[in-house]
Amino acid sequence: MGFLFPSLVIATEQTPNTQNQNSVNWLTNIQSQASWTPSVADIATNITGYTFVGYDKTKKANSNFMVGGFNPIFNMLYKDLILAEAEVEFELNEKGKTEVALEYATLDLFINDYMILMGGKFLSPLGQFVQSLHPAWINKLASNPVGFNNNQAAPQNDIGFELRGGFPICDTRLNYAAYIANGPEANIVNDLIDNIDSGGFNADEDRHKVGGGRIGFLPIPSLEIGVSAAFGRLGLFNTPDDTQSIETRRYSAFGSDLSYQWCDVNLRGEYIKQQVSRNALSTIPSNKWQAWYMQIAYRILSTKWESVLRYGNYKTLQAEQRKRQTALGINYWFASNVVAKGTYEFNHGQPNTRNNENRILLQLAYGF
Amino acid sequence: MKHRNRVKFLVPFLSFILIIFSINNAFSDAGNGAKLWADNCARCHNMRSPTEFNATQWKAIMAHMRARSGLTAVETENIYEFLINSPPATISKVQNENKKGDERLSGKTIYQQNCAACHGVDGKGAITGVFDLTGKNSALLKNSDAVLLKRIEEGFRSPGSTMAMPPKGGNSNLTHDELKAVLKYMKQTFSH
Repeated sequence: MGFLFPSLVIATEQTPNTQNQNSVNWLTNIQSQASWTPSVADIATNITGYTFVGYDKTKKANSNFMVGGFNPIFNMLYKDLILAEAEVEFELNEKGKTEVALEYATLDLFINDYMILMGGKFLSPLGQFVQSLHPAWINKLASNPVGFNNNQAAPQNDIGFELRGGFPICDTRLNYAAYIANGPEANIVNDLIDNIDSGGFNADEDRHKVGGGRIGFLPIPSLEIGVSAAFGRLGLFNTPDDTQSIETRRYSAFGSDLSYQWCDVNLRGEYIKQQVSRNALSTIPSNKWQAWYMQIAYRILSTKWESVLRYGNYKTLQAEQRKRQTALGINYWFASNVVAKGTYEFNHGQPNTRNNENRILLQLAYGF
Repeated sequence: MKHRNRVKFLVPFLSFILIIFSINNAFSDAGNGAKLWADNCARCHNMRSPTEFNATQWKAIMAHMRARSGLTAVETENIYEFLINSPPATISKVQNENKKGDERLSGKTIYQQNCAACHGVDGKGAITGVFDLTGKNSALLKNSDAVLLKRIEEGFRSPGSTMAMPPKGGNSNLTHDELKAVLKYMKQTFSH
């Protein structure tokens, strides 16, 4: 208060006899300072986020209207020192019950011009889709690429610390992310490692950390090429609720990604692989999960209409999980942050499973 | 052996950290905010209009986007300045009235500094949703100078486009004469 209105502080320190004169001075000072007001307070806050609703119909299955999600993102910045950011995900399950999840919640300390230290639960920096492209108003199709959902090939979240930043090098740019975290856990089903759960664990039951990162290179502003990797050990669990792992294994993840924007054409591609090593003393074999996709989107003659084509493939040892997909999309952009999407998926998986059935999706998404 | 492996991992990691710390403030201003805005935001998502949020909200959003997209502090500040100064600012009008004639910039310089980020150096559009200024159907040929100047001065959203051009291309310091100069440059260069 004294910083903004110094004369106010002085006035309160005077005796009552001089109060009238001081009041006049105070008013004069206030009027003279009225032209100076801070445009931004020390704490700057806002809520952004996205929400989406839609309809889907899988061949040989019921059609459904659905609330896809309501995901507010909270940003609270103190000066240029620290940022608290969090995304909360509200979803309805099939029975209509509300499910709440903390997508991420971090404290970002701005160490210097080129480095940020993040601590907490963060989106996995491996690859590009999970950390940057998954919000419904950014994702150009109404579904995620195959293999990029939770418990599939692409790591989703982790809890630990991460260094992030970027800097120009002559006419090019480099950005980086390096992290150390509790790491994922692997679940056993029918004596096979069925999936890797990378939802972010607040306790490290297997007592082994995982470290990794990503480097992105931009030779020109519209082209980014990224490589990612992570290494460590993870525990194998008989059920997701177990607190004691039956054994630990070496874990690794590799990824590469590319994005290119040329006028009205947007091209993206990504490859990601997670792997759990074998143990000669164990009957449970090793396993790996790998997925990739290529996507091209074209804003038709620079209008509000956009066409999208994506091809993706997800592979693992379990035949029932494998899936190949060609997806076609047509979007109408009401505004740069409001889009109506129509997506048709041609799916190829194990016969007589849902993975093998084509699907149509309609979605309305709004990024706020 | 295990310790040696850890050292092997730590040496390059710590070296990298030291290099990053040592280059603090080593780079000068990386470019103007409008160009950085066009170059960096469109990589992942459509461009958001500067008028969607106020200065406080943009401050928090830009800190969030700095962490997401690997921007430097200077670049973040430049984009922020561009975003909050895009709508006409009273203070800039005062500055413009005090501007001397010899400080005036050429139409070409103004275009390159304020317009080329979105419209492209060749006028054909550098980002999604920006119309081609060249050719027979160009807005430059179809509209009078008065209409075009009004659009440049006040901002304009083309029919069919999802993003509006900010007033004065985002640079509220530009004077009326400078806007006339840039319009003249665009017509001479792109309308054949």
